[in-house]
Amino acid sequence: MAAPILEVEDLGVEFLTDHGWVRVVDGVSFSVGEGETLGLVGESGSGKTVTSLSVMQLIPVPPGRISGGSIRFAGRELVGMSEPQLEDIRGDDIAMVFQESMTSLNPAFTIGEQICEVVRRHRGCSRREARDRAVEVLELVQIPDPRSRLGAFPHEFSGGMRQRAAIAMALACDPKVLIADEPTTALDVTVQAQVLDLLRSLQQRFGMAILFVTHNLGVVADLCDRVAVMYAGRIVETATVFDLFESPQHPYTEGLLQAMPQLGERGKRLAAIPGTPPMPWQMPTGCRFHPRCPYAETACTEQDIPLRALAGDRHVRCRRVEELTLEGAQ
Amino acid sequence: MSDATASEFEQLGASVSARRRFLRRFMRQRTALFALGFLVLLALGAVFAPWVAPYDPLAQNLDRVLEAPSLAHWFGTDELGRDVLSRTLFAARISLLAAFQAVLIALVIGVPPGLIAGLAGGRTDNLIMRLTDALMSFPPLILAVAIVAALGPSLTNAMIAVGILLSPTFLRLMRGTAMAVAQETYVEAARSIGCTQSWIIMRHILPNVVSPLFVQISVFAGVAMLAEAGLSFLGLGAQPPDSSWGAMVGRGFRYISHSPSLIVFPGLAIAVTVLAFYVLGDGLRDSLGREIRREE
Amino acid sequence: MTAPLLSVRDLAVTFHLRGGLLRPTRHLKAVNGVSFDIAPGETLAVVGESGSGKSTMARAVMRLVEPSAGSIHLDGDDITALRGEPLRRIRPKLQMVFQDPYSSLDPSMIIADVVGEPLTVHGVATGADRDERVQALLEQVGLGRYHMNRYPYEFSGGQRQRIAIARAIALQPKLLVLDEAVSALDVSTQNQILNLLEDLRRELGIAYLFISHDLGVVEHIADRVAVTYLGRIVEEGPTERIFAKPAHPYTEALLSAVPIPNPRIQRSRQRIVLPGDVPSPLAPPPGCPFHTRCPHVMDVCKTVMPAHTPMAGGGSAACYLHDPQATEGGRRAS
Ligand SMILES: Nc1ncnc2c1ncn2[C@@H]1O[C@H](COP(=O)(O)OP(=O)(O)OP(=O)(O)O)[C@@H](O)[C@H]1O
Ligand SMILES: Nc1ncnc2c1ncn2[C@@H]1O[C@H](COP(=O)(O)OP(=O)(O)OP(=O)(O)O)[C@@H](O)[C@H]1O
Ligand code: SF4
Ligand code: SF4
Ligand SMILES: [Mg+2]
Ligand SMILES: [Mg+2]
Repeated sequence: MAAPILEVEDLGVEFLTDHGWVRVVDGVSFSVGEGETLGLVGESGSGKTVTSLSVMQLIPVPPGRISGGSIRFAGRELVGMSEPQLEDIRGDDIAMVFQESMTSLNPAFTIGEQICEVVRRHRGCSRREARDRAVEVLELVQIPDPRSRLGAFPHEFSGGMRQRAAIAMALACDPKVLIADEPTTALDVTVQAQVLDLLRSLQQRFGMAILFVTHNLGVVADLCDRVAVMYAGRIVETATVFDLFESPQHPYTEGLLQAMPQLGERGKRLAAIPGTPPMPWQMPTGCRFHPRCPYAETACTEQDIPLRALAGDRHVRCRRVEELTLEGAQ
Repeated sequence: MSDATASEFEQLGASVSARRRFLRRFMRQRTALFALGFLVLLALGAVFAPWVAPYDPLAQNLDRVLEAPSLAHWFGTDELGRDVLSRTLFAARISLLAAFQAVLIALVIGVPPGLIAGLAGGRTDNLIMRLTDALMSFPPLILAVAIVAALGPSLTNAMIAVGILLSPTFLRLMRGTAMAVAQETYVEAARSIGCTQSWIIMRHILPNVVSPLFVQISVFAGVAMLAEAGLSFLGLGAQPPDSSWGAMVGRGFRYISHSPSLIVFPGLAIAVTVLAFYVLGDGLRDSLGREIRREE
Repeated sequence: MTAPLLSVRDLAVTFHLRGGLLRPTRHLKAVNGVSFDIAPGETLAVVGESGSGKSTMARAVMRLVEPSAGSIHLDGDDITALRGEPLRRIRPKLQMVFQDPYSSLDPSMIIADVVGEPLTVHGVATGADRDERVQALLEQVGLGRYHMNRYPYEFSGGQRQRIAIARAIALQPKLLVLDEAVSALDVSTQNQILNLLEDLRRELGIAYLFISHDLGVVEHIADRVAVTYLGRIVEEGPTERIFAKPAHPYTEALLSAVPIPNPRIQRSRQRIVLPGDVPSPLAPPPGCPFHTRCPHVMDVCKTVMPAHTPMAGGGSAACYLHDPQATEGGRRAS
């Protein structure tokens, strides 16, 4: 693995809810190397978005707060950094693309104005240079005839074009880390394929690190180098993409892989992990997956299971790793 | 035959009914709760004024006019030697009743056409909205004075005027909410199972437009009370011997340099009560609003 | 083949978008010349890009939007122009589950009323009898009776979708229209619901019109597949044939764009990445609707809409590549 550019260690995030302070992200650690794509996967509500927003220090406070841990970008601590300093980093060194492109783009300004503003803020360059840069990045994301499109408003673009424009804006300052929270989930598969191709080629050219949040294992298989699997606010397994799909070590990962409809198995009953994920205010004791785990034993319910390092840069949070042989993807 | 498991159900074991959850949320809002408590006490004070008031509010005592607050007369006495505390309590009846009348009239005038406009759409909607715009384009105070002048000065007439003035807001609110609710998928789902039009309106649309209405009612009770105070101050509202807080301020105004307490106490009553209605409205909005959100 | 349960011919739905002061009223052909049949107990899946008219097609079949042309026959009866009471009377045969489990259940009603509503409005059962039936329905979809007095927002997405299904099968419909009914759910929950649908089909013999953009799911559940593009069905046929030998270039691209959840296979696949975006349905291109993005486009394609040609292995495709006469001239011209 390349030298880590982004390191998250023991991150905890809490929200004030009807049930008091609830910890929705608990002890999350991972790192992303230069030029590497880390996939963050897990079911809805597992804390993927909260984790990625924490990296940008964009958790809404209140109701949220970062209750502990450390987030380092190129060795600099982001937790507790002053807002002006963060603003210098956001959009410049670390950029983000959201699921709904409308969240990243302001409907009241043209695409050109928005990209130019980011460039001028961080680069302090002239209007003309900013415009040239905007044309350049729009070209990068394959918006046809970019110069004339600078004056277009977001709503004049199709969903796929908007998402590409949002990516262009994120790329405008050559970020070292790109955080993409489900950037293709709202898109059609054919458009998703375009965007994934684009991200891949951009990464090859510029060598940025990507934290790619998704719940689609197909997309992970397509794009990611390493994968972190989240369940109920915790990372339960990290591994390289090939290891993870071939020989998952955590029962939850196995469940997810088995649940993907397999090609050529018409009419067979689909595998499903029974039950639903727990609510963050009523986390099960011990292993948080035990109520749904087919391999659970009484001991699994008793005490917290630590994330253990295995050979080959893998980490697994299951007390039965050694005994279990789990099935990977076909 | 199901894949649902015990844990899926266990989770729900902890859940509670919508009403209880609303209550729990509302209870957590200290200020709103406090406002509600104040309003309840005030209403009780007004209802039981004959029993709790220390004096007869009309009993004059010309030996003790315009006295400052004292142990015998907590709020002092007025120009005829009447006890201001007792008068304030009795005036609460009039003021609260007036606010109630105005809001009721605004509801009766505003809600049905608002719902009709929102649900019928098209030409009916156009017509209703034109009429509303015409009504709204009159300067409000002139309209109120004109209505009172036409009907004769009395508190009820003044409140009819206020109700008419407030009704367009209810109308717009209901039109907007009804339009939004009619677009909801569950309304289409109701059509798809074969519900009749009237069933859909009664069972699906009406129950879902009332929550924003409650919020507006609470805020408008405060507005109506302010309007009543203003009109009574001008002599267009409560007529002697009846007295509302606004009327008390109006009459006390003449003695402002000699005994400011005459307007301070009814004035405070108005301010605090109006504020309480607003705060309650805010609290209701916050506790209801989240019911509609899809979180959790 | 048995007589079809649902038979749709040349269906078209046009939305009239009201213009403003400066813009004239525009006409949007959301569905255009669509024909298909569904046999009793059969599952027809409809797949296609967002905005290609899948939901509009479903809503037209449900008679929730007015078709502007064509006919819809259910069980041999023409239901295209039914209104009022006669329409209400056929509704029990035809039920629908909507995509968004959060907005499709009335938030102010308890579950007993949500699920029991079809029974009440059709006068099938009332009072204790109704509640008993609701309990049975809830159990049938894998929920316990103790959910009866809860409100929808107390349930997870998957549970809500079970509730929506319980409500939809309450009147024992012959056809259930599922518009992206599992799209909003996590894979695991999605599979629970798909298994439930499979069980219900076996027990009750319901036919499904299954709308989805997830080809993995479609391959699993469907007997036949129809592929839509810009308001038209461009290919249709048995699931095996469509997945093994897609005939239309769009179907082919669609299949190749679905990432396979296995990095070794996915990274060594030949992928077709289509250029450009779906054209606006307000200004569909002339000729074949796919010609602006088609890797095999020929001159004929740009002027005349290709007709459906029957395919070996079942079904048909609307593409000049498979129309022997047209290809001759077309290839030469281009
Ligand atoms: N502003 C907030 N207030 C309270 N709770 C929140 C807030 N934002 C997120 N949460 C809670 O934090 C948990 C994790 O949410 P998060 O959005 O990170 O999940 P996710 O993994 O991104 O899911 P999805 O796949 O649905 O996007 C959830 O239980 C959610 O309800
Ligand atoms: N009520 C309406 N008024 C005007 N246009 C509409 C209406 N409903 C749908 N449309 C338009 O009709 C076209 C087809 O929409 P439809 O919802 O049927 O597509 P879809 O295939 O279901 O897409 P998705 O996969 O996004 O659900 C779209 O261009 C849409 O904007
Ligand atoms: S620790 Fe036990 S319950 Fe948890 S995943 Fe491992 S085997 Fe299952
Ligand atoms: S008809 Fe022509 S443009 Fe259309 S799909 Fe076939 S080859 Fe492509
Ligand atoms: Mg998320
Ligand atoms: Mg749709």
